[in-house]
Amino acid sequence: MKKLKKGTILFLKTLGCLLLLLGSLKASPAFAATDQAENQSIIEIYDKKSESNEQNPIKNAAGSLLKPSTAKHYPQTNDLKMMGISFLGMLFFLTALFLIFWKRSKEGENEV
Amino acid sequence: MKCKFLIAALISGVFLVSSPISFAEEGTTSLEILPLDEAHPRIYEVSDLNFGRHEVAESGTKISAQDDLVIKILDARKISQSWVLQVKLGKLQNEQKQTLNQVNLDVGKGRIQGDDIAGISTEAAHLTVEDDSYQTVLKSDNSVRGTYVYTIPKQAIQLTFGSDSSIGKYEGTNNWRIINAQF
Repeated sequence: MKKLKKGTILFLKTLGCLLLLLGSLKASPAFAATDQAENQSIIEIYDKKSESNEQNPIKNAAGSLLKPSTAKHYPQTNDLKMMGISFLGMLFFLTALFLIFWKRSKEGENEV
Repeated sequence: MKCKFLIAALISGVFLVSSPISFAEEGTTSLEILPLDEAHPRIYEVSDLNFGRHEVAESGTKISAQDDLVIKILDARKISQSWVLQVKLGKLQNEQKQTLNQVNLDVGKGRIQGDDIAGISTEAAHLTVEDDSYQTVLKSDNSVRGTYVYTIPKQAIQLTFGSDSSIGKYEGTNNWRIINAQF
């Protein structure tokens, strides 16, 4: 009988402790959270050096990176020749056109 | 002749009548009536924090957010009670699952707009990934109720990262919570 009483008392004590612990946990803010939401943090980090290497991947025989040419591109001699020929052609064509119209207008004047 | 005139008048009449209708557009109107008997306050919306593109050499310097942080809260309870809004910083990871080191996020005080803002106070928060704890951003006493928009200006949101960081696009999820209790 005494043993049973002791056991019951121990059981009640343990139960009481557990309830107290549970109650205090429920009262704490972590258990009182009512609504939750999420948002994103975004950041992009780059390395200027490695990025410039990626943009100019031309390598020489030794394997080192080559910088792109900074020289300006001027028209070559052949380009200039072609340009001159087309300009002259255009000039001839326009002169011929002018002469045709001039002749026609003159003929018209004579007829009148 | 009379018939032709009538047909012409009819056609022109139809055109005249139909022409303004052809420019009309249809739209829908929606209205959500919320009952004032919700059990808890709600976080309606939290905007993302974009810090843009930065060189690795900028480590240790404070980087401001590119846009203001906007948080929308709704407290539609019949009987108002105090609440707090808290945030926890999530770790930032790139495509290769590498974590951004020594991340510090300072969230300054913003401006609150809403129905009844007298009982709401703003707080600045200093967040670190290592800390892994929630920090209070907004606090209300038990006298306020309604819809609130809390805007923290982009200049007041500053992030720093460590010098040994790898390159890449880092993304992290921050957790926000509204607690129906006073601290």
